[in-house]
Amino acid sequence: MRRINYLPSWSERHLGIALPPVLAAELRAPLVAFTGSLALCGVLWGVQATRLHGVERDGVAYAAQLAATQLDVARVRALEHDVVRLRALAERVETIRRSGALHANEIAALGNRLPANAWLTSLHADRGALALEGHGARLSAVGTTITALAALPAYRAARLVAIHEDPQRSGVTYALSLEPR
Amino acid sequence: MTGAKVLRFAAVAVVLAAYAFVFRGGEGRIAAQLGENARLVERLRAAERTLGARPHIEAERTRLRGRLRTVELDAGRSALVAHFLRDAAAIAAKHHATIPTITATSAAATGAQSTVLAAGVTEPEPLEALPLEITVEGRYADVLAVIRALSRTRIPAAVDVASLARKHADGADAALTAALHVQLQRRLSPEAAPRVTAPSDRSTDVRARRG
Repeated sequence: MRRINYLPSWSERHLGIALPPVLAAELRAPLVAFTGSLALCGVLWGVQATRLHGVERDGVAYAAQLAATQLDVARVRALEHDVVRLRALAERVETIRRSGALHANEIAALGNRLPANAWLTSLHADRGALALEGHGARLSAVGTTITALAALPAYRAARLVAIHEDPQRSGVTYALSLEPR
Repeated sequence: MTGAKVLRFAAVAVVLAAYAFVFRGGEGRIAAQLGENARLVERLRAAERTLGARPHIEAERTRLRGRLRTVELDAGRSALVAHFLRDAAAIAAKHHATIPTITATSAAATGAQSTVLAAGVTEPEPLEALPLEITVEGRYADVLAVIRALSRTRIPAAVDVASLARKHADGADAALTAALHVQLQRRLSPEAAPRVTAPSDRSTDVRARRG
């Protein structure tokens, strides 16, 4: 069925002239849709461009702030570097200053571990190992000494080197080696 | 009808293109820029934290410098040895011990050489070692006290015990003789003399007996 529009056109009503239609009626809706899609595209582009411009502006501002602080940050980094160097040096110096006490305490610990009937005559350090010589009232005292010295935390084992009967004094002389951990 | 279809198709194509290129493309660029901004903000916050820590770091540096000023790290070799000898003599006198010999040995002879600090990320601080062989005589407790005190003088001196023995093997005397390896440490500054201790053929014997 063909539909006829009897309504007079705008030009006929107002100007009295019936102008021929520029656009066919069936094209109007698609054209409106097309125009709308173009407008939508434009609006979308505008919104995205505005947002992008905004975040780029923020980025430039942040970069400027960062650049302004870089010099001060570099100074603080140099300070930190200096502190790390000084701290390492201070620790090194402290280790050096503790070295005497460390060895003295080690010797004192050795002496304190000896049983009552055993004595230390000499002590020699050789590449970390400690060679001990001493005197014991009895042979069993040397055994007790080895057990006691082996329990020292700084040493892995106490190794017997030699035991001799002491002709001058009663008892025995012994030689031990303490192996470091 | 054909024109209308074309227009409808074009409208749909424009909408799809707008979504694909304008919206998605824009979102991608905006997301990338937001990510970059986030990184910048993070760096900015890190920089602010660093700047905020400056007073603490300066205080720490002042404290460490003060701590290091208690020892003589930058003295010349001669001054270093001279100060150490004075301190050693005072220590021996205080603890009723004697120091019969002090022998300066070369770095090569003792295996001592310039040492460097393992300081992690920072560059190591070179230290020069001046090795001395010291003999201490005295009673057991006094010798141990001298060993403890020698490393705690104004001069950084690494003390190692080479041997400890009765002075008289027959046991008649309770006196002990301790042979010590001592390494005086000094910091190598850029204007200082060569880094490695120059080997010296001559030995210097110093007697510091308590009066």
